[in-house]
Amino acid sequence: MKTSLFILLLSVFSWGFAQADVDTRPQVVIDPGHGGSDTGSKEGSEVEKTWNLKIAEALSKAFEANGYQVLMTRTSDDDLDSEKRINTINTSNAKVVLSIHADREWTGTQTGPFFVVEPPNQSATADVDSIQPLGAITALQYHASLKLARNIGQKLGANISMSDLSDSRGLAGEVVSPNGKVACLPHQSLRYISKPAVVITPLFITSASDLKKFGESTAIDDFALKVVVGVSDNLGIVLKLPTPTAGVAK
Amino acid sequence: MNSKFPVVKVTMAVTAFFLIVFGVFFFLKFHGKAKSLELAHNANSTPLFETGDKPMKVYIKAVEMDNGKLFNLQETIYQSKTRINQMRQLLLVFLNGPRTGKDQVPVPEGLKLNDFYFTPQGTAVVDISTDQIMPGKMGFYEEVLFIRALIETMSQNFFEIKQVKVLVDGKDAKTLAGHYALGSADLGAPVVQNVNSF
Repeated sequence: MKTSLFILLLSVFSWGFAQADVDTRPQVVIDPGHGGSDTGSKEGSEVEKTWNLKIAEALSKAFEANGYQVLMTRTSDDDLDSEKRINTINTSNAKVVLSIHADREWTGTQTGPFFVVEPPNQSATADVDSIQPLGAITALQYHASLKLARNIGQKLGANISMSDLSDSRGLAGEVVSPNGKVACLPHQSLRYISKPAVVITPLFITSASDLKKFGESTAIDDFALKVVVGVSDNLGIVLKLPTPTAGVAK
Repeated sequence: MNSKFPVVKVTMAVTAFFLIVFGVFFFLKFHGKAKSLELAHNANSTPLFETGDKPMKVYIKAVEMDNGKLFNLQETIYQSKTRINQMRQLLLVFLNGPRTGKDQVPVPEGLKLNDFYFTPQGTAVVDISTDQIMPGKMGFYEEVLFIRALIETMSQNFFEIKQVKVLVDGKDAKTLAGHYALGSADLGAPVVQNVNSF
């Protein structure tokens, strides 16, 4: 009798401890593009990989401060093996994947934010319940990624229509806009990712106005917080954001 | 009757003079262009066009520097014996298009054409080399503009072109310059993954 009671109590405690160890916070993957010898694009002294990491770090802080669990694919300026990166992302419990890529464009007319989602492709099998081959982007995944891009874009005040650079195969029922900031295009960072994922281009390093904006002390943190709110909207999570302090009337 | 003779003679002389001037002008114009285009093309193929071939209007995609948007820029190529040679000319006109001024082609400095061929299934295969592009000088947006402009330039001038396949140094490449995923979904026209399966 005593032994049975002991085993029962032990089981209850073990279960309790096991539950305590499980992190129930929603997980987000933040993937700062490039790193190490792979600098990404460059313009003068501006280097893409540096901006990507800087913004990813701010995003990580903002997500953690708002109750998220964050998985970063790199946390320093190191080379990242492509296969390892894909495995890290696909084996995580992440609800969404945010790949950060500052960009360049030689005319200097393009400004961020800009969003890219991977178009559905031929590799995807018609049966959505079956196991999809690696690299397959189903229509379902495409639409989940598109919704994510739009939720974030809305919070950042971007034009969330489809960019006219988009791949027409992803655009069933969509009307493209020359000023749209969401593009449906095949991006190497999104290939082989089996979760809702979006490439966020916060800024173009060839744009003087973007560099000026992101050069201000609070700009990156403001950007990060808006992304957190957009992702939370997408996941249906209500955030408890601090009320802005009222200004003192003169 | 005799008084009219000098008038006829003068008219004939003037006509002959103008014919010679036009002949020399067109010879120099066509001969010079043919030479430069042939030199630019690496493949051992027939001349892209020959003296006397008629000019034809084509439209290449270029970028307006004021707003960064693609638009149609009119250029001239020459009718030749084969459609493939016309396509090759168009490709060279696009790749060697303007890189200064208010309208520029979205082709990075250093990008070279290795070869071009066209399959009976309607695929234009463009084999390029990116070794000479300065590292970091091509972002995702620029890769997209180049691929988009290339595909639209080729397909809008030749109805036979159903899709465009880009090879880098004769092989399938993951990306053009690290971002745009080649071979997965080239802008509205699914591309064949493996050239050998044509």
